[in-house]
Amino acid sequence: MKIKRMQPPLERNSEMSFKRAINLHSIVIIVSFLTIVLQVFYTYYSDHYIDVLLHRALLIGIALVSSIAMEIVFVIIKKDHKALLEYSTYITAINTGLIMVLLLADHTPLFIAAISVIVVIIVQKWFLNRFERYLLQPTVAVFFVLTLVFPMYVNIESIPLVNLYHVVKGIEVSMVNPLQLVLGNYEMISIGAANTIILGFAFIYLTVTNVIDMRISLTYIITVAFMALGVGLFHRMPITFGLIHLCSGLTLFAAVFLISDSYSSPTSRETKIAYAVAIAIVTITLRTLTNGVDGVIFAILIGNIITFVFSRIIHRSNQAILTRTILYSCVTVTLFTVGLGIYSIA
Amino acid sequence: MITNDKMIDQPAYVYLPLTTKKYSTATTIVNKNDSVRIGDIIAYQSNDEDKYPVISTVSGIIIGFEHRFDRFDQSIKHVIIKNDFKSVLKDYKPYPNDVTKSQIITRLRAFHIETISYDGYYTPLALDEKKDHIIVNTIFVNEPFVTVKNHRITEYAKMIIDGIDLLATVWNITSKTILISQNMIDILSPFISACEKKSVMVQYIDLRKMNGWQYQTVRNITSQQSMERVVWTDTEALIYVNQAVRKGLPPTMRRVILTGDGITTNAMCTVRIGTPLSQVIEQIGGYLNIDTISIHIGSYMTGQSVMNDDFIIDLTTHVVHISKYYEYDTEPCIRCGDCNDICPVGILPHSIMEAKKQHDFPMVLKLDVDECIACGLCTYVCPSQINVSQHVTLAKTLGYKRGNHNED
Repeated sequence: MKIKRMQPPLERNSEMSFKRAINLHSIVIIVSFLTIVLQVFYTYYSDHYIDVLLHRALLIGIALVSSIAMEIVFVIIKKDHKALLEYSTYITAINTGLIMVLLLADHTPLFIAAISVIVVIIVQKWFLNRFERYLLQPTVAVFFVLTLVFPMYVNIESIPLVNLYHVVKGIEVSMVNPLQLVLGNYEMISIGAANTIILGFAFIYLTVTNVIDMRISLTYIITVAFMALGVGLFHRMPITFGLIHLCSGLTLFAAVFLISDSYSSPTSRETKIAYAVAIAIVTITLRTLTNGVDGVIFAILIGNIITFVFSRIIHRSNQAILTRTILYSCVTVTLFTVGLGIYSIA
Repeated sequence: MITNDKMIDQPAYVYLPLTTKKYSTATTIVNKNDSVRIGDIIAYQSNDEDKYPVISTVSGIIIGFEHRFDRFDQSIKHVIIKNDFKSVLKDYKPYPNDVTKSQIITRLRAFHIETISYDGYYTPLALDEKKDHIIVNTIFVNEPFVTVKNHRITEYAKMIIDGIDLLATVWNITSKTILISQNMIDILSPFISACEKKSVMVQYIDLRKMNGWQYQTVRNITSQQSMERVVWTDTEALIYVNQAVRKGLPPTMRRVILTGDGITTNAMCTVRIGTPLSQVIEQIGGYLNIDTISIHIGSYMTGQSVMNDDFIIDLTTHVVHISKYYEYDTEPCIRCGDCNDICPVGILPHSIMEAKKQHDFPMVLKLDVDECIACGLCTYVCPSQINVSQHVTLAKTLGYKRGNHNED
């Protein structure tokens, strides 16, 4: 009988990291499937639902094919041929590819979808191999570049938010029905920014299974809601502002799939809260002040840079620091809300 | 929870290590064929500062000396005593009634009891240091498994409480606390009442989660960050203290928990100090029929792997885990931050690990790596099965070697 040294066989009290990847994978696939299926029943698309169905299915298909192809290329480069036949090899790439495509709008050409998936996977692999983390979230960064390079193809208009911007500017417009807003039955920025209910369930599931950190996502949602309600109060439409900011413009999609990506977000609880608050503040500020009604994408990139700064200056994690972080965040959010409210009615 | 209790037969031969990791020099005062009694001094082990006796745990004849591997896998000299099974005791004066501080100290030193720390989990009973608090743990720890020795606590209640009083006399301490699992309040109610009568505060612990409760509890009781002025010990040490002072009995037996899926029986064993582990395993049923095993001594969080099963059970061995050998795949770090959340001292193990990987040793020092208490919780919670604690420990060493140099 031999004796060998071994790490203690502890039963750990957290989900294994591979299980977390599987949970995210199943949710991404379900959301992708439902975005194709559900939208065709909405009145907005009733005249041309076949085209919509086909195009969305093709976009999702392109995402899958491109991501799997890229993964195969990397596996061959690494000469790890055993991994080719294991489904687990492709999970991360498929997740990335699908999330990238879910960010794109209905009318995005297929070649743009393919290019974006290929580029984002290359960027992702490069960052992870060099730094074991992202400096900028690759999906968000590539999408941002797409909007600059192909503005004619990648349209980031979001009707409810556009209407809200007009309201802020004093132009009277009719608002999307709240129920349709929640169901995602309006012309939207991207195919993934869909049904609030689906994303809500995805959020709950991924939080319970420890895939996403509730401290980041929930803080972000609460801050966006608070600021939206606050700015809306100045226009005597707090509920409308709150609903529109939460249910449209990629807010929930970002909360579920983009913001709490662990490779680009901070790792201590205080910095997670500060990061989420910062992204929410930038989101609402951009949406209120500019015509760039989306805001979330740029805000996430700012947040990623802030993460890097945090990692250099925050050295401890304890109750006192947490309390101070929450306090400063509340004060900052309130000041920004009041400031934006006053500016928007001025 | 281990409920199987076994008394291991006295071995025919007892092997007593002459040196330890801390006391690396030995001076023997016996020779081959000398007769010894329980409590006789066989040798003195020492370092630059202190000298302690090695005392016999059986009566019999010295048959020689040999080198054996200890549990640190170091080859050290052991004295071999052939047991005559007569248990002849050397007379040490008992102090059944009033006893002075110096008498207690002398007796504890004579029996080497002050060095009990159980693989670094508890603090030694450092008799010449200043101490302000005594905190006693009744919860036998084999993290993440937890065992509470209820019947033993009830049976030895008076000795345990007296042991606390004796130690309080040594340091003139009034702050005495005992930690009890909140699930055991009913079972231990007579003991709890006895503690309260003797002004020993009782603190109840919720054991449902692994969250560094020991450190938090000690910090809450003492309002101190470090354990410097705290006597953190357990009921076994108190029983030794009581028996040593009140009855003049040196520690000869050790309660050891043996667990794991590599052996047929998991049990709490009462073992004669000086018995090889292999003999204990044989007596409780032996190994299962497997090719490769792994032996881990001490708490899962803070203990260590051992490469031999023939080391000697001594005063500081309290837990041994023998399991089938498994290959574990470590996955890449997913930066979840669970290790940062669980750290009881408030440092950031993930950030330290990252800084170490980037060879940023000044940053490692800025992250207060020296405050790490090696509790192992960061490793325990890691979903990628990374031994984070090992990275932090290495970062500590490299940080001090290279971090200061870089700053210069």
